[in-house]
Amino acid sequence: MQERSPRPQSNPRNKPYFKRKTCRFCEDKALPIDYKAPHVLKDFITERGKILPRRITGTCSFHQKKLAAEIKRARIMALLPFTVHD
Amino acid sequence: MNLYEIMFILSPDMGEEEREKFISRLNGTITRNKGEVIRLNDLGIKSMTYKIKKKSRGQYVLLYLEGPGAMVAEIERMLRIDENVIRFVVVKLDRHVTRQDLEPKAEPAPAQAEPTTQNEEVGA
Repeated sequence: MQERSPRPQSNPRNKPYFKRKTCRFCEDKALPIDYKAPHVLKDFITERGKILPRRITGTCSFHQKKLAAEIKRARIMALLPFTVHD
Repeated sequence: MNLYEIMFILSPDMGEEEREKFISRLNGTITRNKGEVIRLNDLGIKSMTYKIKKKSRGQYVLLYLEGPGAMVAEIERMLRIDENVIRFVVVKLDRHVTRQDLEPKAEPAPAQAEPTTQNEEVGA
C-alpha cells in the first residue's frame, strides 16, 4: 500500500501533510504588536473582523495574548472594525 | 513617575487654530498636574473604520508623556468634557520603555513601544 506519502519512513498511512505553523512574532522580533500598526494586526482577524484563533495562525500563547489586547485597542480607536457587515 | 501614551481623535471639522488652542489647554492640564510632554505626534486625518458621532474621518494625535497617575485622571476628565475629542485611549507604557526611547529625535523608532494593558478607556 505504497501511497504518495511525504515521509515514507514514518508510518505511511494516508496521513495528510501539514506544514508546521510558527509564530510570526517569534520568527520576526521586529514585527510590532501594536494597535498603532493595524496593517500588521489585520492579518490576524477574519474578513468580518473577528480575532483568528491560534490554531489557524500558529501564533504562540504569549504573543496571542498581546495580539488580542492590541486588536481590541485598535478597535476602540477605529483603526480596525469591531464587525464588518454587508 | 510613569510613562504614558495617549492617542486621541479630534473632530475633522476642527480648524487649525482651534486645535492649537485645544493642545495648549491640554498642555496646561498636564503641567498643572506635574506631568511633562515628551513628544506630540500629529498623525493627520485618517478615515475611521466605523462612524463615531456620525463622523467617518478624524484627526489622530499621539502624545507621549511622563507624570504621576493622578495626572491621568485629570487628562481623561478633560478629554471627556471636550466635544471635539471623538475618542481617546491611554496606555501606560511598559517598565522597559525608557524616556530616551520616546524622545523626538528618534523619529521612526518608538513604534517598538510595548504597551502593557492597564488603562483602557473609551471616551465617548
